Amino acid sequence: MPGMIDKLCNTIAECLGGSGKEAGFTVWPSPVFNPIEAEMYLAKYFYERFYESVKKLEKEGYCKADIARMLKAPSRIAQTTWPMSSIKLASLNKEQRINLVLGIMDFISFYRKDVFCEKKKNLLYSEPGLERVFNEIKVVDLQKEDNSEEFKRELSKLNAALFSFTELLYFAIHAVGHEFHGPYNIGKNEIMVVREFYDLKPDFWPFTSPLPFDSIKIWAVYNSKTNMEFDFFNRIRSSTPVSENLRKFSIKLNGRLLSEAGKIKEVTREIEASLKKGIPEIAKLEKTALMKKYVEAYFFILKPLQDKLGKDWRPPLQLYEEIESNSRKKLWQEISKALQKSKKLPLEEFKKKTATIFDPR
Amino acid sequence: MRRRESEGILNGTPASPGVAKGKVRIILGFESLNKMNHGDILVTKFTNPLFTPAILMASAVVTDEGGTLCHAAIVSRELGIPCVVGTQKATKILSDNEEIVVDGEKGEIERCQA
Repeated sequence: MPGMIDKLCNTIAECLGGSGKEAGFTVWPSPVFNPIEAEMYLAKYFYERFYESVKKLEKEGYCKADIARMLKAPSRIAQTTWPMSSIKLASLNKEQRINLVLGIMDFISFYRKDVFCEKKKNLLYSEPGLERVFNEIKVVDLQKEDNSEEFKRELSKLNAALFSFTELLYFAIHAVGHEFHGPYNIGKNEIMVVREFYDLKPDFWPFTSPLPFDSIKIWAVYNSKTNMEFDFFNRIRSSTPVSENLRKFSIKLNGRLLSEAGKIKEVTREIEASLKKGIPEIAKLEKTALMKKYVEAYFFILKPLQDKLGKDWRPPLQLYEEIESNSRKKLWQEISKALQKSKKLPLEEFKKKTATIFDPR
Repeated sequence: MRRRESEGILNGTPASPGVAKGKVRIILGFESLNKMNHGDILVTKFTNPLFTPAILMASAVVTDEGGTLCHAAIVSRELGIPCVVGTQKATKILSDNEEIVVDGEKGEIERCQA
């Protein structure tokens, strides 16, 4: 199993290198603060809680598969590895750290065989599962629709608005609010990509409460020439136009199928309204207040485990106090300097160094 | 092969394919989002979700920083509009209202002749 940890560290390094070496400096919550700074504060408490809650649940008789199911989706689980560069701040010994990280890989493997998305795919449906889905959903075939261009425009706008919304709520770990999976080869020169968005109304963002839905699922069928690649953290890369290659789609909102362009427009308007309400509120937040929200987004991942144990899901008070007192200021200054320096390294050297930093052993 | 800056070309990383022509709108922060008009080309240092209302109005996006997995790149690909990221200096050398052509496949920004 130690091979899995090496593979994980290399995957994280590969993902960071592939995003551009300035990644941490340009992802939301930047420019307010670098996510790595917040992860230095939360890593200790987050990993301690993760380890303890898994152990307690196992003691209560829940197996790995049960816990994986509680954690909802593989890419959401993968987000828990981002703060690993600070995992040694947690009161866990080496064996416990290894145990936790291997457990995380186990939870992901419950959902997908290719844990690290090495084939640049995120395949969650089995073959019979794919067939079952096709029987359940009612697809809109754009080749049979007069207003196919309007459908394409509306669907792409909805996807863009939803993606931005999840990033607004969950920052750099936006996959806490979505699971994109596929591409599934479905024959007839077609591929299918599924975009699932959920937990769109987390209680740590009260501005989302008027939103009339909490989840939405979009099945999109494209011409097979559409190139879409998925990584471990659920980011999609594509070198071909996506929306213009759309052939068929289906949307399920709060469990109900939608098939009219007007209805899709309505959903986009709801998301835009929520964005317009939330953006000014969030833009007003100062660094400390925004960092508290960032750590809440992380602890929200563990909420189902805490709920099952009958405990409060919110971060411990000490974590809020440490953020308020800026207790890791000096350490962050040192790390920030080192990060600036590492940006200048050749890509391969950068990846090698990054893999070492994330190693929990 | 990359064309040179002396030919009026600014280079960056291709992030979303397509070609668009429009007026430059430089937005450096959330406060100036209301400068944006439908069809403008959003030029900024890098985007985050606070920029969403502006991106939804843009015909193309150009940024100084970021890679192919940054917010601007992902949202532009979903919208099907051209995007060039990591130009390093677009916000410094372009000006509001000047007309440019953005080629998201080649990663080029070209000034239109006056």
